[in-house]
Amino acid sequence: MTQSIATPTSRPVLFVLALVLVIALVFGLRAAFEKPSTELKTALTADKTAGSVIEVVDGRRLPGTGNIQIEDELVAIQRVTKDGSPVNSGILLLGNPDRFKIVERGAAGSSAVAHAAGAAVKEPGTLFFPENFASFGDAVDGLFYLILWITGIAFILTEAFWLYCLFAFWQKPGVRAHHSDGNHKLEIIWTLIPAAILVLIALLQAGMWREMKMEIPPAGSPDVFEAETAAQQFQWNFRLAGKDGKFGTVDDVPTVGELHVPVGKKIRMTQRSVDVIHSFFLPNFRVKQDVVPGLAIPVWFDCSKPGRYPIMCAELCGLGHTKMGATLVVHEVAEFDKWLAAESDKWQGENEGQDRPDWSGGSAKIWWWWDSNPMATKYQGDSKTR
Amino acid sequence: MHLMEATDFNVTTTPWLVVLGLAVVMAAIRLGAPKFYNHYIWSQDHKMIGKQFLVSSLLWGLVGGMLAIGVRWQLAWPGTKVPGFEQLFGWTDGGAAPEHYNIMFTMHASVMIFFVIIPLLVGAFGNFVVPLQLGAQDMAFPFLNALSYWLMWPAFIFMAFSFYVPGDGAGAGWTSYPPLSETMLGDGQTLWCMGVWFVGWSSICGAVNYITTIVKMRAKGITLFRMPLTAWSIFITSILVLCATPVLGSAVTMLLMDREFGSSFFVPAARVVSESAQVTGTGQVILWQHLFWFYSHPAVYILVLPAMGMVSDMLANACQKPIFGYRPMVYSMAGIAFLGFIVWGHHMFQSGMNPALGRTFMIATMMIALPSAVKTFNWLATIYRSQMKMEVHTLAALAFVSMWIIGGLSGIFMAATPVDIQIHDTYAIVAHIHYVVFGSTLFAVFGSIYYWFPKMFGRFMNKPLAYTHMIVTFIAFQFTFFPMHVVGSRGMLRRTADPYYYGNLQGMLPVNQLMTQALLVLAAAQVILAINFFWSMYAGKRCTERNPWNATTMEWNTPTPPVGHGNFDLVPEAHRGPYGYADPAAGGDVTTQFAPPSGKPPTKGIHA
Ligand code: HEM
Ligand SMILES: [Cu+2]
Ligand SMILES: [Cu+2]
Repeated sequence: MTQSIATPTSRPVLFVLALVLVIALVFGLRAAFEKPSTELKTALTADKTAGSVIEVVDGRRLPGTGNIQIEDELVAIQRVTKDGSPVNSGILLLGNPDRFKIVERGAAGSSAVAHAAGAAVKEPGTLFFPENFASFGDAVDGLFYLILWITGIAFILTEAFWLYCLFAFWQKPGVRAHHSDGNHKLEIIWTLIPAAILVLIALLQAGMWREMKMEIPPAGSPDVFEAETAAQQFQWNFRLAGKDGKFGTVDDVPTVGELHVPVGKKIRMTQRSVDVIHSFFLPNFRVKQDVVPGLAIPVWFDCSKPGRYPIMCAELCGLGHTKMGATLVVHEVAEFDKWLAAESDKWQGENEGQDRPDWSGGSAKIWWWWDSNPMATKYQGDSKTR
Repeated sequence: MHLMEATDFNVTTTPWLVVLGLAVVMAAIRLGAPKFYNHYIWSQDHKMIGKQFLVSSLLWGLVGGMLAIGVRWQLAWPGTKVPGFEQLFGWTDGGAAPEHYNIMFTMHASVMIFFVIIPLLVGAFGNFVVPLQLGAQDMAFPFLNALSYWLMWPAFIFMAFSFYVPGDGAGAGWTSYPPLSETMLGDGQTLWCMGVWFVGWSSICGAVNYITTIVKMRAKGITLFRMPLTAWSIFITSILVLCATPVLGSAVTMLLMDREFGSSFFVPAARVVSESAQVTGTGQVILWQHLFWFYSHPAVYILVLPAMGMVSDMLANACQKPIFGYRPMVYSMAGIAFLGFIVWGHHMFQSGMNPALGRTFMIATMMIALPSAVKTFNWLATIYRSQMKMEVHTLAALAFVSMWIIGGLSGIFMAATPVDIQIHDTYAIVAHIHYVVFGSTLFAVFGSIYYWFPKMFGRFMNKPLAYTHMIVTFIAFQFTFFPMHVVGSRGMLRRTADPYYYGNLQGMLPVNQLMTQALLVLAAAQVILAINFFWSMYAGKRCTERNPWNATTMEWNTPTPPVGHGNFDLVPEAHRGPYGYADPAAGGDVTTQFAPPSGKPPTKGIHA
């Protein structure tokens, strides 16, 4: 009865189709993940001036405009035609010239290109999540891979069964389908088994979630370092307490587009926004938290390795959302202490004696506004508002 | 700024004039050609209304698809003009500027959800199929039914105008989170709110009608548990619509008032906008998200439950085998509907909502995966040991089942709160959305078009074209959307005009180009569908049989196409359950629901 065969024509056709699909998916994905032309990077390293045009053999996998990261430098490039005018009709599919003009270049973090865009290039070493540097991240990744295994097995079993049916049960002249309109025992089995697995996954994650989002390390303990965020369309303003260890004083260290923290410490941040919702996303630290106007939301993480890492805005916040990146700079502790002391002195020198600290730079207005605003201070440092 | 200047209602009057103009044209047709008017314009026949929904949704589908191409074009070739967009929308940058990118993905999703999927499922197939399946002569309230269609038109007009009004279009995402949606200067966002508001009214009119029809208008012998699953799914969906849509309506009304009349439902204390005067309210930003998702989570099931019902009917017919576990299928739909109301917070895990609450929503979300799994197993068991007919709706139903598995499984990652931290607001979410809404629902819709087309228009669609469309779509779909899971978990954000600004995303350009090229193939395949659909309407092979697919349910007991207003020429009466395939009582043959009992009554299965 189960021996039904596909109609003579449909079976080979379907088989070939399935084969083509699988092969194409595998090869397509492999080809697609190849790195964008290293040739261009080499050319850019050699050619130092803005304004010049370079040619590469296969630049087709590069955008029409965009930034390319070369070591510590960011280069803005624009695809151009032979006479140097920008290519802006998108028919790039069909052999456009692979010429790029260097529009601008500057050290990462310099305003020349944009703050910190991709200042930390992490070519992901893994297929899925990027490399992790936070202490709670390994557990998250473990959970991810556990779910990947579970769903992977479920996927293979169900889809293999589906494929088997797809080949085995085409109509055969004169043969009737097996009659069955249900089976209580089976229904119970395939309700209880997934239920058990889902409960297991639910239980496993409860502790992780609490550790990451609910057990924020208390301010003031020696292994905790504090920082504040005031997100703004379209930049990240950060502030560290200066030498006096207090926020809202003249020696505070404000930064724009760069967050400096010491390695190894627990970083406790208060996230605020002054206009719309943004989202503080550290892909290498498994941190994401919407930053909501009207709320002061605590966030914590720690970092195990000094370096520069991307900070991304993950919530649509308007026209400039696409360029609302920043860099997390993780220093060795000693180096950090030195840096903080120097910065703190610098800001104190500038602000002392002034009625309102008239901090120059993009962040000044924000922090001044923040500290002197009665409505805002209602929320100052008050993490209970959540 | 709107918020400060309050009270002057400054949306351009043009869209209103166009709505008015439409009414005038309709009135003129009514006077000049009353027959035409009663038949094609203000028809109160559920079959015509169903076709009206079908055609307008397919046309809007072209718009939505075009916007999707615009979005994907930018991701593959950032900074370049999308062909044709300059002429169409008057954007000199051809869609390359972030403000236009934001409009493209916002309107893509809004159009697809509010104008394509919901009206296709509920408006088109719900309308055409459900009264026929119940053996009813029409819907319970024909006038309300016509109203529900024509309420879509103000929405169509407002949304279409939102591209062209001064300022800019709606670009705060289809979720339109305030305060961003309140600070958007263009009138587009206001028109978006009004469009959604009218869609809401249309949905509510429809829901009331379906519920009443299903409760009151079933023909003799069609008990609730003899209803085909399509009718069940529309019943359950309508309950969802009725309970959830008023919440959306209230929410957009509040948003509109914040924008135009200076209220502050969603305006928080202490806010500055673009360095202008400080705006202070006493509202709560996150309140919108609660209201919005209280509607929109049930809405994602509104987007899929009817598809599940339709696929079940098509699958039983394709396999010539009863649906495995008819009652568990009904109960799991009801379970999904109930749980659907208590999981909305899973869209808000990272929103600043109390994380303890996030845990509650996590558990509810894990639970909702269960009825979904049960349905999958039942479909697979239906296919097992069947005798599948080589028909287009067979392919569609099979595609639905396999794509639903992927979309359902990826949901478990997002339900796991710590994992969701990493993938929220990335392309992994976009992959998930599309495996459920395109991979599942849209394939079910394709199948339904091929399946019910003969009953609707008395003609068949062209089969070779249909196979080509289905197979090319299926393959291109995988390439368009599967890699999104991978790039998303690697950190590629959604809703960013130029992701390659970020160094850590630059390596993902090639795979994005692959996805976009696949989309172009996918889009080309839809042209085949459009041609086949409109060509077959007038020139397809005639269908004169009542029951071309040898199906069992009541809609196949009408003449093809069903007679005028009233549908049935024979008294509709059901004598048994909906899936009399491989009926042992008939020697393994098909027994329709409406075949009068012969001497031998059909044997009862466990769930009969
Ligand atoms: C024609 C094939 C389609 C393609 C290529 C496509 C492509 C896309 C892309 C690229 C995005 C992401 C936009 C971004 O980066 O922000 C998106 C979002 C979305 N799409 Fe589609 N889409 C298609 C069909 C559909 C259909 C049929 C629906 C039906 C409901 C749909 C619903 C959505 C939704 C809800 C979103 C989320 C939008 C948001 O939250 O911003 N799509 N789509
Ligand atoms: Cu942003
Ligand atoms: Cu949801």
